[in-house]
Amino acid sequence: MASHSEYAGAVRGLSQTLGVAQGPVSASLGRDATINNLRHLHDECGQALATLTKTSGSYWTQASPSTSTLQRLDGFVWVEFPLHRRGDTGDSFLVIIDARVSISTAGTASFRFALHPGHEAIRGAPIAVGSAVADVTTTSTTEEGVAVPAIYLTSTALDASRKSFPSLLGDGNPGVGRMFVGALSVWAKASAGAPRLHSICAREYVGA
Amino acid sequence: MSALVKDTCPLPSVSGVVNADPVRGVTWHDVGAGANHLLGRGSVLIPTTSIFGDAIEEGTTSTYYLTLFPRYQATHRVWTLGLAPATAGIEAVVSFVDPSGGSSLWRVNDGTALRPFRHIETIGSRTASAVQTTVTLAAASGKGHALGVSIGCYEVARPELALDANDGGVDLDTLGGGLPIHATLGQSIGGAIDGIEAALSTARRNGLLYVLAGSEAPFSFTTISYVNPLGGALAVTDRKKYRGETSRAIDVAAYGVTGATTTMDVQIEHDGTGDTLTLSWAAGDAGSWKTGSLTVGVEDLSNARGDGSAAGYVTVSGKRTTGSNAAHLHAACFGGT
Repeated sequence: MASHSEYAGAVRGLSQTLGVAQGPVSASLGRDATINNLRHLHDECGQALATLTKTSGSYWTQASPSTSTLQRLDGFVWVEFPLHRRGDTGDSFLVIIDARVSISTAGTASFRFALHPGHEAIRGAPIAVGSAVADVTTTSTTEEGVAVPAIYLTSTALDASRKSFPSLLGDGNPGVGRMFVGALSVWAKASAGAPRLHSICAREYVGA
Repeated sequence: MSALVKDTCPLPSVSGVVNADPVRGVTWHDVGAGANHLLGRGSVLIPTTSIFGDAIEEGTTSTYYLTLFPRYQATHRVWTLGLAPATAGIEAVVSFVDPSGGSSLWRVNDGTALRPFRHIETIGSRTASAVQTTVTLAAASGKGHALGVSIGCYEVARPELALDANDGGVDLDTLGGGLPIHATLGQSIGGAIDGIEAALSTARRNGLLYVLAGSEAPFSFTTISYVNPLGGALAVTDRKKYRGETSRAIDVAAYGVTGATTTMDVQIEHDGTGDTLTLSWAAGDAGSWKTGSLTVGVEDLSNARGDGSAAGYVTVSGKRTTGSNAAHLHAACFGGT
């Protein structure tokens, strides 16, 4: 005879607070109250990652801009944040960015937003292997909002780079390793004048 | 007893519970493991945020007022600070003190480059309620000035949860084929359901947006018309907690100081929902938090950027309403509910 745990249909009142009583449990209760909720909570759990902004009239720019080569913005190096592990190989992290940009004079400013598996990867080369990027341009000489296309970074890339946080608690506790390190850098160039970044907001997203 | 927090969230098939069919023990095991993951995985408390009035002169301490939106399960926090020397070639020595009283001391000396520093806080008092607290950055006397440029904070993921009503841990050893059902808290099918309920109640996008200025140089309002010190607006999107919703009310907390004869209003607007929140300080307020709620848009998983129908931006503005002396805003903190 199978135990009751194998035949949940014979159990009524699934919550401990309601007690466990004999009787049927509808499939909709079991599915909607548990599995569907679990999936919902897992999928829709993206976090706010960064909100960096300058005060009115200020911006990140370049003292020596280039017309052809993407360079860092002066004073803006990168943003580091934790990313939840979403699953096994093949799952993706998506980062959604809202940025406000402009150019100092008539022309076109180009901005590249790069998502990196771990901040170490971006200390040297402009864009590290395994990174993902999204580009936007502006011709506006006044601050304007741009919706940056979603940037994808796969957990495969993160696993390969082994850029999860080490145990930071000093007691061998591996808990922190459950989150990846992600980093975001911003690069720019301009056909004339200098590119300007006024603010950047980034959030984690599961995606459509 | 094993309420392990797995690295990834097991997702049982939705066809695992079907009318008149038995439910496998492994399905309930994955439900319990999924609840543990959702509760113990950690989350961002403060998205990396710019600090305004960022100069910290040697021999001085700058205080930052924060409202945090933690979950009870968190036992530690990681603080990330972006610091730089104010002058190339002159080393600054900076100390950071966390809300639990722990501290770190850093030498900041890489030209004028911005470098990240990390501090681990062992939380002195765990709570699931919003916490009004402070952190400080101090530049050592006799050394160089420092620039406090950015701050971020996140709760650390847990390897295992306690089997109590606060942690909501589910004992996975009591879930599985052939095992009897227990009625003890945190165990068996009831424990798995309680875990999902706990995860739903704590499910929120903790820290959504922070606007922060140090105590040495807060935002100051000198006009009777609203002024936005940031110039532009900032994107805020909350998670979709319940199916079908397009907007949610989030918590807002702001810290202000007013002079003896001056009153101040801070207005917060979201252009996606059209909602507006006004917070007011009486004259002679030496420093206090004012709180309220603001309705913002939530994610919509059906489109590529997740921008729902009420997607939009938040603008924070302030003004003096009466008087002519101090009207300072130190912080505006936004958290999911």
